[in-house]
Amino acid sequence: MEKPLVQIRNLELSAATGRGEARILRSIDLDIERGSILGIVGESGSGKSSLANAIIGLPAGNTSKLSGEIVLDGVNLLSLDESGMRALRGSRVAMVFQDPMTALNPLFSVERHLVDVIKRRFPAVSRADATGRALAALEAVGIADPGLRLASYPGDLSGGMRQRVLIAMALLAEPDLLIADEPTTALDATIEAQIVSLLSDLKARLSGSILFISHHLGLVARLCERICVMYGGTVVELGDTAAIAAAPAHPYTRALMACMIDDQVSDAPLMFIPGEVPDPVAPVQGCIFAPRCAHVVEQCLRVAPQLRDLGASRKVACHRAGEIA
Amino acid sequence: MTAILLDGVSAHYGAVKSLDDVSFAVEQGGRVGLVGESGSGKSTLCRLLVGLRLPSGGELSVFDRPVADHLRTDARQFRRNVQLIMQDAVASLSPRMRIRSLLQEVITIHSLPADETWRWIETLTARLGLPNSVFERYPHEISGGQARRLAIVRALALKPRIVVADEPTAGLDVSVQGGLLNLLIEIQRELSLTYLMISHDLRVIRRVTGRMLVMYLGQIVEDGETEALFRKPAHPYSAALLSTNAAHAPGKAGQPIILHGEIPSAINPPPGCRFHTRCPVAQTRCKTDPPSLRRLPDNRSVRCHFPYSLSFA
Repeated sequence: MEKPLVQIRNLELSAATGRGEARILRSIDLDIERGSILGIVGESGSGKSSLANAIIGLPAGNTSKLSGEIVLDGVNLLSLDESGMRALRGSRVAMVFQDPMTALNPLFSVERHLVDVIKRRFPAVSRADATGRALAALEAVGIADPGLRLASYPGDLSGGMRQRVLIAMALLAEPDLLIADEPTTALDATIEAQIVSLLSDLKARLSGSILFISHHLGLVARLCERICVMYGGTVVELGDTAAIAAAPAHPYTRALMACMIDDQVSDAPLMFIPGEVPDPVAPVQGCIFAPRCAHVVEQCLRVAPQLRDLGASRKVACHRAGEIA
Repeated sequence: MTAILLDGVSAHYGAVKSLDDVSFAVEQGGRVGLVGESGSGKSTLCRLLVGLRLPSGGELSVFDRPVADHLRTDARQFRRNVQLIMQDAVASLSPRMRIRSLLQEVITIHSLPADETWRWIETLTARLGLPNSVFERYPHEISGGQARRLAIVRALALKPRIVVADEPTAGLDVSVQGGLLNLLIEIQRELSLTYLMISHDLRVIRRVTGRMLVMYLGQIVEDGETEALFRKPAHPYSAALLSTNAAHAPGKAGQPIILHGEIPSAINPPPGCRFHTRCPVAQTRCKTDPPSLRRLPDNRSVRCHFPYSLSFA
């Protein structure tokens, strides 16, 4: 089997805060396969955006410490200096951010944004050719009147159009890895549907892999072949979407799915997970989900479960996975 | 008793026509959902209901009296009875006051009995799973989810009769939103409150409300019982919007109806039916002849010449 595009090993991220050291990512092990689309699901504070930022080399702040390995095609990204990282960003790894309102420079036209990406990635491309490619990219992401839109400025565009421009920029870079961090969260429902359908169409045309990050399990399930569930800075479950949707192995995944409001007419109270997400500063003994878990036993409070193999490329970090149903 | 009544309400501010010809009535004790995209006029409608703005035309009454009348004669009583839960919970809490003072302020302004109200507040916070230590914190020291819940506590502390909730679960993780919605429903039943709830999360609307209004570009395009509307939307816009909901369930194969383009500008709305530029089933008549909100035999109102012409699997 071909080696994964990205291999993340024992990735730790911590940051000094006024209250002590906050552990944001705890010993993450994760592979991103070539040509695949991997969804990362987690709630606020689960570390999903921090993981994305770590991969693309955006520091979480001056006081943060990052250790472990992020290996992209044999190169450990954490060993690269800033210029090495910069050469990679926007060419081999590209990112579509959550907030399309702030990710574009208001003083640059759409054409300038797109052409800059092309000139940086492919310096030999002529100006006229670059404009042609920019035009084609706008068409590919479904922008009406692309010729007219090239001359527009971000302020002239709606949120949905800005997100399309960001996706066009990411595509022009022809990255090996495209990271989309909550790309539809800031958009309206009908525009979200458009962007999701766009991403799903582009999936077939991209040669690289996509890392799709969302708090919305349903959306991830629709778009991604594999799902990684994060909680409190750890990976708690990993596997094929269909398998996880059919039978979640981790109590957290299970609870999260139960919390999703279904379409049944019912007067029964809605499900929720009692308690709060873990405080990244507080020390953790045992399983990080134990304080909120309905299936907790004595062992869970003592020993932190490791991510273990369940076969069929399924992994789960729970002592009791398999015995609870 | 009619809690809320709008008849031909418009809100034109300068060139922007935020609301046009909005009419509906809500009986006391109803739970009504309001859905639509940004720019459809939902938030403007909320502001009108709580008296933060006055309509530029039409009639807007709360408890059978015009809102302007309430504001002139018994503004404080009106504001106590009609509470708004704002969309941005963190920004709605003053950063320089501890949570205790923020809540005390409500008691002072409305001259509420302090002991009794604090007992009620503590009941609410406990039922929302907030620790008592939260009272001593400043807004920046609490999480977004806690701020969201405190904004709700503050609104319910007054025991209002109408609650207008603008995205009460926005930004909340799915793991905690259920608890909050349960409480909102319980309190509504206990006090027989009237709720008008905006949410972009259609599942929340379906589960919490009994009736819903679908808005598009400043107008109500459909008004009906929530469950009936979800099962069989009459307006093509409702059908497209609700189809995005069906398609998001994991393991379900439903395909959303993808609308092309975006919501047009409220400064210069399209002639004829305002939705015709994006409507997959628009006909010639729709381009010139604006439909009015009309009653269908199945207890539903719809603003469309050709209702039920678009359906989803």
